Amino acid sequence: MVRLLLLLAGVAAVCAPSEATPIFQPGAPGQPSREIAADEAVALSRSSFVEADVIFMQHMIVHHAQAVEMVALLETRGAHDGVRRLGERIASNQAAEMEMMRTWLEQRGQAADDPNLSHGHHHGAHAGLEDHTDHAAHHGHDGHGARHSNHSDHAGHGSHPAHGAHGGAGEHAHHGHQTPAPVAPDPGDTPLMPGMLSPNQMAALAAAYGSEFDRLFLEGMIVHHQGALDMVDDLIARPGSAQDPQLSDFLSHVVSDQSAEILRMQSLLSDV
Amino acid sequence: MTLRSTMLSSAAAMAVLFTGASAHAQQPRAFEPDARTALAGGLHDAEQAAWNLQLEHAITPPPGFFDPDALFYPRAFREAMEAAAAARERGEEPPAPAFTPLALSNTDLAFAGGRVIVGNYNGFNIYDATVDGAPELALSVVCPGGQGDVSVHGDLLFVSVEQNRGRLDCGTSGAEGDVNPERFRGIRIFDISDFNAPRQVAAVQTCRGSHTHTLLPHPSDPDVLYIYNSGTSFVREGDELDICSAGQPEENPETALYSIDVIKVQLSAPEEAAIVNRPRIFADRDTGEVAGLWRGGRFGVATQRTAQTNHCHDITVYPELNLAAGACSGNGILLDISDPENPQRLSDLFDPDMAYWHSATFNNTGDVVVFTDEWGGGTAPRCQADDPVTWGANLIATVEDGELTGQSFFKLPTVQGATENCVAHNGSLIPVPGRDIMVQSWYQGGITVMDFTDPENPFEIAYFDRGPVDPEGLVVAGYWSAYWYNGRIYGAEIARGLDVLRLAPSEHLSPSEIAAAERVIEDQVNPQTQTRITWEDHPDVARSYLDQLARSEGLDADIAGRAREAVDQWAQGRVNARIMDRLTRDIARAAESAEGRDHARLTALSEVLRQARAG
Repeated sequence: MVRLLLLLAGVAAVCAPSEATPIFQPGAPGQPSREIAADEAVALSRSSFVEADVIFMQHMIVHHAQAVEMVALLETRGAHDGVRRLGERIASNQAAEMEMMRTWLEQRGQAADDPNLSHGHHHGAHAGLEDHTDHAAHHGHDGHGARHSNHSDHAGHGSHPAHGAHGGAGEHAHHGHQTPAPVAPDPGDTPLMPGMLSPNQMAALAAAYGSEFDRLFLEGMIVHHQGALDMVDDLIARPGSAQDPQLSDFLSHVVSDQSAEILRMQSLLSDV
Repeated sequence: MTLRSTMLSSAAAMAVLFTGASAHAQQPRAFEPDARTALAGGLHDAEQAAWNLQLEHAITPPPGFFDPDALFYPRAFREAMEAAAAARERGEEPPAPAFTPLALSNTDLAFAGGRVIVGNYNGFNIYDATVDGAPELALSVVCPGGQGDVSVHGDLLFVSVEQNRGRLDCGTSGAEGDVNPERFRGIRIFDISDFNAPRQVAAVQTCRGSHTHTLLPHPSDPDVLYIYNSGTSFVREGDELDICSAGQPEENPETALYSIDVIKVQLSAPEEAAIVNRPRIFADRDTGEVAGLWRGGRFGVATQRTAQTNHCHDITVYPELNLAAGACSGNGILLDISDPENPQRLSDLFDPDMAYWHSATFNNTGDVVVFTDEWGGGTAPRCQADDPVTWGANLIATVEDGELTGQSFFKLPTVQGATENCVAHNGSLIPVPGRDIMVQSWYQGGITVMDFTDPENPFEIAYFDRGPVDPEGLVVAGYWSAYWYNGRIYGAEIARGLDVLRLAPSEHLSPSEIAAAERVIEDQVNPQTQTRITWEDHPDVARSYLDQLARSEGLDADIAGRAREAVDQWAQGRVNARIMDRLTRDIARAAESAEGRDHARLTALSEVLRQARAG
């Protein structure tokens, strides 16, 4: 078909806003409004972030990376088309969100990695991200840059005490039996953080094929997604957290997307 | 999963869609690049591509709603970051970047009295579009809280607030922490009768805040207005609002999940607005189980709080049909709203290609619903060459006997770059008689106009797009909403402001069809509250039908020729009764043997001519 195409370089019709219109800031319901200056209006749009926000983002990057790893296994081991399609979507979503989280941290002068998080038994956190745009410009984070220092107490958070809310999700063995924590736990049974699969669970997944793999994958990914929802709950319970608009939006998307994907995985489980 | 209809599993769901043939079979595997694909970037100087659409005005954000240190000057921001890095290397303490992405984003639109209301994360702006030339700023209000979804009814303006930083007093300070009585998440109500003294008159707190909301006038009492509130965020603490608690219904039957809020507003006393019901619209219609859109509980992996489809993202009501279409995270649903306080689910739809059911638009007759899929949440570039053509698209569904059935997908039919966030987003109908046409925003994918008259074969008939805000990195920007209002398309650009566009004639849209659409004038338009479009009996309307019948070859050429002549005469004020009577009869007879849309067009055309004859 013939397409009429108008290519305009530059803008012919940009209009400057009127200078004369006052800006009002209303009060609480029933209270009068007051006039404010433009710079005050802009200042009201700015918000802050706290340590807990940063740690949440750093940990969610690691958490998401495991989902990408799991989908990489799916590509060579899974049998079911529906599971494969969902897996591709999950990996694509989580990789894009990792990119967004890294950018969020970078733009606030924060490191993409939590220095308190042990990377000892966490291998391949960045698997599947070779095509990453350059995020090498992380400068050692000074612990203060751009942060509100009214909330620097996150003692213990870096080492993740088990939160009651994670009972079940975090230590869920997906072979259907729950092992009570022994006195000297095998580090291979300890996930890096609640809601992630332990190294032993990842190994079991990597050893499975066909419909058995699909089942383990779905069960594991449900637990994994549930972990993300728990992380969100945990964050918003912390003082001053989740005020940053972009982070606040992101939390809503995590909750809605992961909930929808869990729903879908539950239904797929009946097919594999 | 779909759970109440014939589809018992995703495999069945896919089988149904595949056998429907239309949803997937006719989809291309990938889209080809076109003139929109590689446009030069820039905030206000980006290259543009337009096809059958003309940009009339581009209005940059007003004072107070633009921050040169924020997202929309990414280069300046990157320079500041580099300076901070250099300072750190010198061993100095770098200055904190003053930077809040999205903080001044423009969002949704509403219209009243020839004015355009532009929602914003930080408040709202109202423009007067009745003036000659570009719409003029008439009111700026600052009241932070995001996302600023707006609706208007008479002198009242309603604004959605969901962020934790929202405050009752429109400020941002002095209310932190887990529980705070000053925090506000819900729907604000402003009185905007006096542009010199706008006032907040009410603030209805809700458990999950307000992501979007929809106005629903009471069917008989003009003093009562209902609001359907969709909260998608986390449930706030019960200590902050006592009706709120979270968790799954099997542990907590009172959970704030799995419901919408129905708010009742007495227009004579808006300060008393309050939640009157939180209906369980996802409940199983047989067992009453609250989490009824979920059937996976027997697999042993569910923890004690398995998440499910538990909210709507947006609801569109069509009061004249007593119907609402809900885009509810994992499902699209259809509701009977004849009792507005107690909406009842009629049907629900699941589709394996839909990541996040985001919004819904009925066609004018109400037998088709366009659902959008906001795959990736709108902040990701999802229109790249390797993105599936059915992900992040529109799903077009038919409604028959209260049942939704998916028919086809429509996605922005081109390739966008890696620095352009792009996915299906908000739109509304363009009132062309005889066809179903929708204008729609795709963030930085621009604006498309889609014909979905045949719900199995939607296609694009016009577009407008700019290059990325920043070619170097992804800046979240682009069109949040693009809606039709009184002859023009208004686009709310997250970063760039308010755009006004006009349809241009083409092989896909005749001058008469555009003229007929532009003649439809409405006072108040909230796109999620659909009212039946009617057209006055006018020569442009008759010519629109004739143009369509010419395209479809649905009318004998001799009759069509006579009809055009008669309509031309009518346009000049001359109606020959005898000619018109015969013509009306011939066209009515042709209608009897026609089917589908041509039958409707011929019937409508014969009626227009009969009215012309009656004078």
